[in-house]
Amino acid sequence: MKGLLCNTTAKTNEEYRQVVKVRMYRFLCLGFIGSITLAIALLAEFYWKLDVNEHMLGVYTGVGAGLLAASIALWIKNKRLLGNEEKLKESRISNADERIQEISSRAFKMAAIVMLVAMYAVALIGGLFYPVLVEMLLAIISVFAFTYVVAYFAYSKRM
Amino acid sequence: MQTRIQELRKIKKVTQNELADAVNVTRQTIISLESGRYNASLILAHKLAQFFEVSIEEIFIFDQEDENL
Repeated sequence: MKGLLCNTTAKTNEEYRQVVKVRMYRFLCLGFIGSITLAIALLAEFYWKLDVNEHMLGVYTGVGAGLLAASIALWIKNKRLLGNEEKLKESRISNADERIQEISSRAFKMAAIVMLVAMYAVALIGGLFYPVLVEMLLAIISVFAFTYVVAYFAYSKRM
Repeated sequence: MQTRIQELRKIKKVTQNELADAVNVTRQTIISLESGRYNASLILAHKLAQFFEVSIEEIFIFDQEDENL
């Protein structure tokens, strides 16, 4: 299975090497975000001594540590890829393969539809108990719809 | 869409892997093209035509009824 947002149009290993380098830079940013999340959780608990919900502290710590660990692992994986010409070619072909991109795009579309339906269902049922859920989830759905319309018109001008 | 990829590949004596390598796709894509489960893009169709040194129409069998034309 190909990861989300891994599509590329690189035709040679040299072009793909640049794609991998940019990807590694993004993993560094992701690691930085994870570190900040983890740091905020640790500082809130041990340094600032804030009265934060225990569960939320656990969530922040887990998400921060998870993002940091995943970014380090993916950075190392891509670094190794750069040093192995055969693996680099294999990765390039699977990321540039048009059939795999089509599968990925259809899977993404299906996931987006299911996510929208799930969010609507949560807002509808959860809203009976926590009204803020309706406002929050409908706001997210609005952002999704707005982004779709803007992106659609932007791509229409390009194609 | 039905194709003659498998037939042309056998005439040219190339494996699915070799063809996949030549046109920069995975072997699974060649399998899907040969079985008619996936329709190639125009670019891939051109690459395949260049590889087999034939025209696109000689590789891809366009069925007007299947395409509702």
